[in-house]
Amino acid sequence: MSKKTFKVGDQVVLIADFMGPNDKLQYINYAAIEDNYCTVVELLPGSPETSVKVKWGVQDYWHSQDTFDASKLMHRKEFEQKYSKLETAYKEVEAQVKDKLKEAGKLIKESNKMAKKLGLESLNEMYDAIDPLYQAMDACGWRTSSFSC
Amino acid sequence: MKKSDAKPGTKVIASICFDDRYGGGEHLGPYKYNEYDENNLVGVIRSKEATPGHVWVKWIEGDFDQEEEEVDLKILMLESDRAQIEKDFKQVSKEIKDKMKEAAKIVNEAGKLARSVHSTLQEMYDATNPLVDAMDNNGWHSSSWNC
Repeated sequence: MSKKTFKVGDQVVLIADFMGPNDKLQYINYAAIEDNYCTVVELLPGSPETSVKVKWGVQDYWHSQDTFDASKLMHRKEFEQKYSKLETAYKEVEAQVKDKLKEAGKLIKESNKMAKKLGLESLNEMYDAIDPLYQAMDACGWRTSSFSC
Repeated sequence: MKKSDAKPGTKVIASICFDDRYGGGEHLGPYKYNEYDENNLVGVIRSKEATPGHVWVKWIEGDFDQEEEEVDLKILMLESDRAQIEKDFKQVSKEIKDKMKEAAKIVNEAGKLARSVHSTLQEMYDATNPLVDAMDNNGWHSSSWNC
């Protein structure tokens, strides 16, 4: 996107926080989108030729201004349309994940009952048995090394 | 064990239990199988008269503090049942292990789904609640998972 697409007064969004590793827009769970809203106040001439000066559009930063490369900005309407689609896709996946993890939770509950019948305090005493679950959780972003803190 | 089984000379088993995971609050409890036979005791019932519901046991195997003590019959099991207890434990352990493998498979699948929208399970707080709650309710402490 070049600065030619912007004009003074445009409502824009700083999209840097929403860019994925593949340089595509991505939905960020619980992100405060409003913190990235701003208004174009000046199109800077010369070098860097794509620079746009913006005024932040949230109360905390209302009077502060920053200059960004135009590629880091997107029109608010365009952003909201694209982001809304991404959010819908994310929520669909989130619902599928929840269903799956309900099933995993059920298996843990059943296993804990069985462990108690064996005279154990709880399932987490069965180190060998729970190892596959720990490995899976580690691979999915948790830190199981601190589970027994 | 049944009172009728508690004859002098009968071999019995029990385990040393702890009130916390740091080894505090040691007390005698029902026998628990474990691979290394840790904290397990084998004893012999003595003929010495005991209070109702109890017997005197002389410990002959294990890391015992007192060589002889009065023990509640509810805690004791017959040493002759030990092989069956071990067999049952291994059978149930296998079933639990299978269930945990299945749970792990599901978590991995859920992780793949999360990655498909450039997220991780840890970031999907609402979706992971059923798993976290299940673990909290079954012996884990999720409050320290991010230590």
